[in-house]
Amino acid sequence: MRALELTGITKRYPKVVANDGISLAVEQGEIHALIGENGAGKSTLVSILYGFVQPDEGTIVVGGQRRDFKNPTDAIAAGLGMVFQNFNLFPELTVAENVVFGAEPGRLGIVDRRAAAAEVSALAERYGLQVPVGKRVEHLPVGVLQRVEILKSLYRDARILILDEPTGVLTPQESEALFAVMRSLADAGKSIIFITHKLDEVMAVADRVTVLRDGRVTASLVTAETSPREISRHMTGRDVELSQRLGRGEPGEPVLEVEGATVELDGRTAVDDVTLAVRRGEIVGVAGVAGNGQDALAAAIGGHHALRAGRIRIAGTDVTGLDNRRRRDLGFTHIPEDRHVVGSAPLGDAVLNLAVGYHRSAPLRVRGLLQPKRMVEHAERLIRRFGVKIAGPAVAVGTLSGGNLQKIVVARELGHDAPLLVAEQPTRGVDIGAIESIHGELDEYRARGGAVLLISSELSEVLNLSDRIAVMFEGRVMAVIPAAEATASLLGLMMAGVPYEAALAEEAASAAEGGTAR
Amino acid sequence: MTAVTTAGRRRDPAVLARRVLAALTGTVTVSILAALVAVGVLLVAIGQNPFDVYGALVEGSLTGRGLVTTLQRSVPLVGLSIALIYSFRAGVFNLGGQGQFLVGGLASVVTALALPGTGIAGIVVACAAGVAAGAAWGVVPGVIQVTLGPPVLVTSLLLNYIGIAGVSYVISLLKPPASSEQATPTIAEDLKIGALVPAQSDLGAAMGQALERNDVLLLAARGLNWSFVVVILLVVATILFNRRTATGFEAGVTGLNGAFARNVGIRGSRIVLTSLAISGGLAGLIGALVVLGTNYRLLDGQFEATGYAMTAILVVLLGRSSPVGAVLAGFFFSMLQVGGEELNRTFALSPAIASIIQALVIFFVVLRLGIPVVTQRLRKRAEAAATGERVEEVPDAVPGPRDNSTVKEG
Amino acid sequence: MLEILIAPETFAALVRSLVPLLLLGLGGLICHRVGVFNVSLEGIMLAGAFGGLAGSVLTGSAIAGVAIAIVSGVIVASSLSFGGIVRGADPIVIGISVNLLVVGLTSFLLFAIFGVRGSLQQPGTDGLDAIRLPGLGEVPWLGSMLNSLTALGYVAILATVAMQLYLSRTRSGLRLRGVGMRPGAAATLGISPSRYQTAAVLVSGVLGGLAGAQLSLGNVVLFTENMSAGRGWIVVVAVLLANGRVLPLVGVLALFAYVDAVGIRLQSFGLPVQFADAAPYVVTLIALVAIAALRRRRGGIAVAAA
Repeated sequence: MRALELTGITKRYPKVVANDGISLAVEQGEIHALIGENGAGKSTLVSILYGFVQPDEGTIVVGGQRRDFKNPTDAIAAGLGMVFQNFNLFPELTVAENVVFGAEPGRLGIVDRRAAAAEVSALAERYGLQVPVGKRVEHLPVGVLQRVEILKSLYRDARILILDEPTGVLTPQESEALFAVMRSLADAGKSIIFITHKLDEVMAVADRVTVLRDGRVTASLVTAETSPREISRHMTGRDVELSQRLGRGEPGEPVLEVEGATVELDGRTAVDDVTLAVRRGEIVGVAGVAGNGQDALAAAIGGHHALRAGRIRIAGTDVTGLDNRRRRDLGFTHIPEDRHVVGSAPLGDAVLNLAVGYHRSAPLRVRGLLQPKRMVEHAERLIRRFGVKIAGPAVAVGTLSGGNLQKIVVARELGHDAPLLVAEQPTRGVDIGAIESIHGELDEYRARGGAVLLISSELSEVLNLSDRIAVMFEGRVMAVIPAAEATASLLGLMMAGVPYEAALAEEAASAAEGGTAR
Repeated sequence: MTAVTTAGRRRDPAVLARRVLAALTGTVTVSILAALVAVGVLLVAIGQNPFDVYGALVEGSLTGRGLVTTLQRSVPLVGLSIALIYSFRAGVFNLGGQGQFLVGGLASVVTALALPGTGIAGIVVACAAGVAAGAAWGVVPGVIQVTLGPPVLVTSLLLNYIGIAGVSYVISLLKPPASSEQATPTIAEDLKIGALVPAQSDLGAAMGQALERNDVLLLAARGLNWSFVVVILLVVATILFNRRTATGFEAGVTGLNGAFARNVGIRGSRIVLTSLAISGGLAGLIGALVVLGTNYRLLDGQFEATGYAMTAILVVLLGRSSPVGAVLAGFFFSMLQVGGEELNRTFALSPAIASIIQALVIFFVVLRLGIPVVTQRLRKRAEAAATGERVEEVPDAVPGPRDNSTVKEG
Repeated sequence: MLEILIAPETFAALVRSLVPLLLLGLGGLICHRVGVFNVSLEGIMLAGAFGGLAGSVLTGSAIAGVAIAIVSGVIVASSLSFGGIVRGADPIVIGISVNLLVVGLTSFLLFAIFGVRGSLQQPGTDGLDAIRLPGLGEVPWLGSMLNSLTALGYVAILATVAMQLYLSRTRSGLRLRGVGMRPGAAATLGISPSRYQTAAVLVSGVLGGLAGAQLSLGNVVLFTENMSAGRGWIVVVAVLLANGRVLPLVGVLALFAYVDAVGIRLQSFGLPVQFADAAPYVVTLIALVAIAALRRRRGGIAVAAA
């Protein structure tokens, strides 16, 4: 009997058909990958599977029984367990409390703490998932958190585990460990569906793969019988090439200089004695697993965190004590990580969102007064130049798709044509067309002499765009190396804390054994 | 969703017509009707005929002498609302209007008492004192929030009660021993803000001859004083400030999304302090105008009894922090107030009925909104009642709380 | 005069002030823990005060009055939960308008039902009497404190203990805390955040109603317009200062009650009434500022120029 069978799942939204007649089958003990680009419909399908959303058409059959999931409780009851991208854990509760939450052992409404701890320990033992049962979740490392998430599902007797982009927050080495766990769970009879957009993961661990594109299944393959190239062709409809880089000259003088910067947050050292520089006409990429100090570094460069030690210079001027406004006056621009919360005013229109930052000087402000007509023209000009798909400048930007809103943010920041740009996760959650467009803009900006500090947890993005690459781990810069010398596995080792020399040595060793290429 | 626009689109008549239509069928109109219906039910419950009651309310507030009274009341209410707009539009929950208004009134009367015989100059100086006092009282919560963290919402409110007690005490000190009422001495004749067209003046006499005794225009000319003009000027000035100044623009952006504003170089603390100073200062000015133009002395508890300060908050919320909205809502609320008093005379109903309608209108307006109105995130804990799910949208990730990562971000 | 600071009568007055604050505070606390910023505490208490007195006057029984007070509190609370949770409106705006609505409604009903303005006091109305304890009541200080407790005072003590146990030991309490920390995470495990939040708000309605009943039926049997007089805001601040923990909340509220009590007693020594009125708010403000300053100092981080 099949573990799970979906037939003809369709979900329509006002502007788009997110899932169009999707059918997929998963056997017991099978690891099944679901792959597709951003916007292909993976998230919607998973939402349906977990009961967050109801399909318009189609059937779900679990273990031979037809099911209708009205909410996550139904899905849990049917034996599905979901491990989310953004961990759904309670920071101030312990590991045991997190695992048993909602299904706590005890009588008369009182929680039996000891039984909870014992049960969770036993479960962890059985599946080889090491976790500190009695510790509060809030300070635990990411790899452990993921195991807690898996335990949550196992505690509820999940027979089918769904992992949503599980390696997004892991180093390559931690991902390997996760794959080992997945294999042992599969051997124990669990079925695993895992969603990803990374080809190498599919090849590494999946038995079968279903490819989604624009809401439809374009292929259902056995991984042993296919190749990354074939899968990617089904994903995108064309052969994917590395973006061509524009020719450029030698980088010029430094625009951003960070010297020995240290930032303390909540009693922890978030940025630890970081030194790096970005010169005119170059892109310096910062690779690292999310949460290793990149955010704090970007915020410190922007003037939002004070430095405990060290200094920062922008265009030659020491900005260490200056606030964000003065730094922007000196040529600092910033694409923040979160376009909704920090990058825009979603309730405001494009005119407002694009005028910010330009509103203090001519031509938008003349003799102390703002010029509304010029603000509109300015917005229209930027919309045209950056190819934002929007009905008109007076539309609220919160209604735009992720890619288009990101283009607004990019347009506003790059529109200054300022010397320095700090870009954080510039293409996260953005459709592939917009990704290419934004990468092109960054490339052209560099060609014009711009300096970019590119912070991204997408290794491919960092490798494709950067001239030099810095790796951050626990707030420190492990090394800054020329892009030509960087490979995913070398970077991965440093991202996991292996010092540069040791990482080089290990690279050489595994290359000798015929190890992973880029 | 309706966007917050900066560019004037009003040139196009078709767009204008569509906007008027939207307003008529929109949230506010429906809410007003709903409130009237709800109160109508209440009236029936206590044995009154809602139509009679509402009819009397309208008649008592929009015709003849009633209209003039409504206009008179609108002046301080709209003025105070305009003052508070500077805060609310910037996302600062300034609930201390009561205190700022009162402290300004006290400062102006004390100054006026010290400057008898100085005429217009004295009035101006007294008003300036009101502005200064109100601004100082308003800025304190801002300073506390910016330097230490406790939110303006709470500290401004606490300062209200402290201000009321403090002013009451000062009045008790200033009270003339012979007098029986709890009030400051009365200000000199030449420091009183005069009517627009006083009966004694030439124009006033001419009007008195040409028009009927109960003619609205005549009553208005004699009943309204120069504060009317001041408030109109304030409305215009605020519209200009919001649309045409960089600070006004930045305040608006901050009110829409404070984190965004901070990230693009808008100095949050400067916005908070400036908005509070302006709000407090204008509230103090209105306090001065009321004292110098109405009772000519400060009575203990006078300002609380009018309820202007709290009503002004409702007006700002109903008018969506826009000056024109404040004028319309302020007039509407004053109309309810005056009408309520009329109802008290003719139907022996508590005038509180007016404030019930007012609060219900706000309540219903807020209910229709699916998206939270301009909010100032409390520094200590933003208590959100979100369930985290918006089913209309295509998820770009599986639903879960936005910043749910338990990884301590570096 | 200084003996006032430690006189048994002062502590008895402290207990009388503390009971309504504590009941209201527990309501605010449970909302805080579940993630709802309840700004309507003021309105809930005022509604309870009116309901309690009106109920007692109309039915002749204090118990009926208390029951009506509870109902009044719950009605007010449910409008907050409907607006804030079901319709997703801004809790602060809803809270403020609800408060103003209650002020208006209570004044209106005061006039409509009883024909009076300002305040209602009818001699002979059944109120909540302080319960004199035979044995313990003789103990100095503690005795006079215990003797000023009405039935609702004992309810307050029980409620405090119950709240602490509920939050730390029960299944429901754990889930409620989880909802307060990460509502989305709770939802993925089948726990409905809106259900817990609504329940918490309704509980605050019950507790706030009781607080109001104590206010109007305890001590002096009287209702004045706008009687809650900002106590709701003091409680809001207290909950924030205590970070939603029960014991610190009791401590903070006790401090305010103490200042209140001392202020009232000092009036007979010539302290102007306005000083006594302002004292709790001044103390609240100072406490708020002082604690924030201490937290900054301990954090030791230089604030970046903003």
